[in-house]
Amino acid sequence: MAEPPRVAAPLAELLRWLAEAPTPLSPGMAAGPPGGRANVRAVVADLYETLVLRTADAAFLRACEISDDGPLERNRQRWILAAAHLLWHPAVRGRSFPDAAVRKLFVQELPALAAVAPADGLLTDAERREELIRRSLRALGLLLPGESAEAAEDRLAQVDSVERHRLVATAAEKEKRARVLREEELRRRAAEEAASKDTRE
Amino acid sequence: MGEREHGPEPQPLGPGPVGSAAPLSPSPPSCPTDPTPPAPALASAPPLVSADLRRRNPLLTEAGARLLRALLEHSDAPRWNYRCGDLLTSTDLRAIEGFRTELATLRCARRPGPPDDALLRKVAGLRPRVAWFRRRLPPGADLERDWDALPTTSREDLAATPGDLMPDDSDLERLVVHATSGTTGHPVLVPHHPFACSAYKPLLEVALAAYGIHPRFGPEVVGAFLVCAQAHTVTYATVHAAWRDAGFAKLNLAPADWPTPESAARYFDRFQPLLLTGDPGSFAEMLRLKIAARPLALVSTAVALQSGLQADLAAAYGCPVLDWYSLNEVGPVAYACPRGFLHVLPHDLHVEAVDAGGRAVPPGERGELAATGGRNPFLPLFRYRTGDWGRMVYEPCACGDPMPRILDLEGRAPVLFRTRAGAPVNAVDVSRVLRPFSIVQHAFVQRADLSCELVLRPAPGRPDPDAARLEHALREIFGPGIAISVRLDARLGLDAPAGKVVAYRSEVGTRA
Repeated sequence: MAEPPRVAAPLAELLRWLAEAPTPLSPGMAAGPPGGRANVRAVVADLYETLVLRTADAAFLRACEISDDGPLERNRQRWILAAAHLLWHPAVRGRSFPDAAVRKLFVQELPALAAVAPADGLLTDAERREELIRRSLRALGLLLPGESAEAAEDRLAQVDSVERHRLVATAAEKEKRARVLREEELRRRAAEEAASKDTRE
Repeated sequence: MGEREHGPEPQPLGPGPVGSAAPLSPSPPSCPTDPTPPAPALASAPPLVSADLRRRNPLLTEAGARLLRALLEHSDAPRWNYRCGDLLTSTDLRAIEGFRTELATLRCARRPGPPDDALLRKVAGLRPRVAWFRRRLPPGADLERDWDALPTTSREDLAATPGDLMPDDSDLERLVVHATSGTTGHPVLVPHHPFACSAYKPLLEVALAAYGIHPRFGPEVVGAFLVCAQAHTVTYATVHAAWRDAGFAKLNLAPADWPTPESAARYFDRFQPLLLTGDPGSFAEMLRLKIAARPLALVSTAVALQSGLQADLAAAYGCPVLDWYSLNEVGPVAYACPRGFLHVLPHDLHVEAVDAGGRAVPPGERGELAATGGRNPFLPLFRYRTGDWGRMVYEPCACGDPMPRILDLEGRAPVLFRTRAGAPVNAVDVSRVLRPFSIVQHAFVQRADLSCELVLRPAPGRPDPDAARLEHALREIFGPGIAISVRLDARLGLDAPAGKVVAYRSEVGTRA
């Protein structure tokens, strides 16, 4: 089986590229006033066209757009912008990738990451930058120079926020305690007034 | 279909003299003079907005408060036994407006297979935050590629550990709970959110628009009466900010709920709701009581609407009678278009028909309906088995609605009956026989000795279904050598949980 292609930039260069990207990493970009807010849809559309060599479909672009103004969504937007900046590195954008690879990164990987890791970590924590790089390269089927596929997986496992969150959250006692609290609240609220609905069910 | 009128011209709805509204069409009932003196002219009095009322209806306007007071204090008002508001905040209202806009632009043709990217993205974001997702979705699974192999959730999951289906970071401050019992009688607590409850309204608007109906809601009209006909149920009146403080009341037609035998008819007459929602049994009771109304539409929910009763109601009230498929856990799922096909309503709900193992069945084949997505932040659905069965089809419908259709919806797992020779008979075949009749509910059972009994609750005030004709039709389906009996029971379902009975049951042990 052929080895995955390698990106023509070492990890250090990609880390520096991310760290020196003030615009997408700034908290204000995805959350700030409308005039200063990045047009995430346009950024992703440009990137997709560059990487996949065709126009992105509306459903994909809609999935990348902000869907509400809550902190989770604003955080996701910042991760998307950071990923877009990373993939704009000349060593990446010179190649073409399958639609499914780019789609999976933006539709599945980044939302899961954004659900557990604040994008501020990109500014303060080199490990978060490395995680974004390694997730993105894995999604696109690329390896870093001089690194085997196994080594890449091992290293990603060490910096994997989503898996770390899963392990901590599923620690039996913690999860059970949280569930019990939610269910107590459910029972308590069941005795209180509901909200009006228009139909029977 | 041409545009329908938008309802009666707005007029102040103070408690004013009862019976002052114009005569009704198509067949105005007798409306005796109200024996009680008119209520004081509350329309001009300052509305009383207590702290409790403000909590229930945070966005209540003065006009809305006047309407609510009129609904509550009318001399023919029922004996209210519950208090309830929409609990909507201005943020919720903006979200509902956004949802309305999305519905207008994003209801488009779908393909069989995994959900679209927007929904996959939502699920991906929930994956680390919901205990059930963490435990049951394999960490390496690709939601799109592996969709068909991913596990399903069910009513049993919700009944046993509802807390596992709620996101870790749920802000429980806004939590409301709706209890549901279905036909099993086993109660389930469904976590709900005020926004998700009021999001029914834009969905109703989409369904009504398919019939050319575009109601004008505001504090000068009553938007809807939810009509029940049960021994006991909660009754309340409120106004809904998502319909610009239009009035709303949940009413029970049981005589004991009303001050006088004529009160219900006069209350309907006085407030002239633009819409009536309710189950077929309640609408049938309206017919029996000769309650006149001039709604723009009737929206029939909860149990299957037989086309015979549908035709009777449409004739009596001079408006379309929409069949509406909605579940407490899921919210509105589908509505019947003017061609009679059930279309999936929300753009943010992925509906698939799955087999016993959770794999999607091919388009057009019968399976249990499972739903993913929705907009209830406390209960994000993941392949939630509804307990209802049907066939998904994706071809365009002549009505023009591009969303997929659900054919042959049945509220239970498919039940196979047997002829004497052992050939299968599907419950759907029996349903087809029943359709032309004016029936509220039915219960069909095949006993272990293969004999069949059909019990019908006829629509009150309508000619009874022809039992001999039904027997004959069933004999044609089941063939020779099987005893078939048909009887009418006007009380069928009245004492059952939520008024619903199990429509099909086999004691032969041949479930599909």
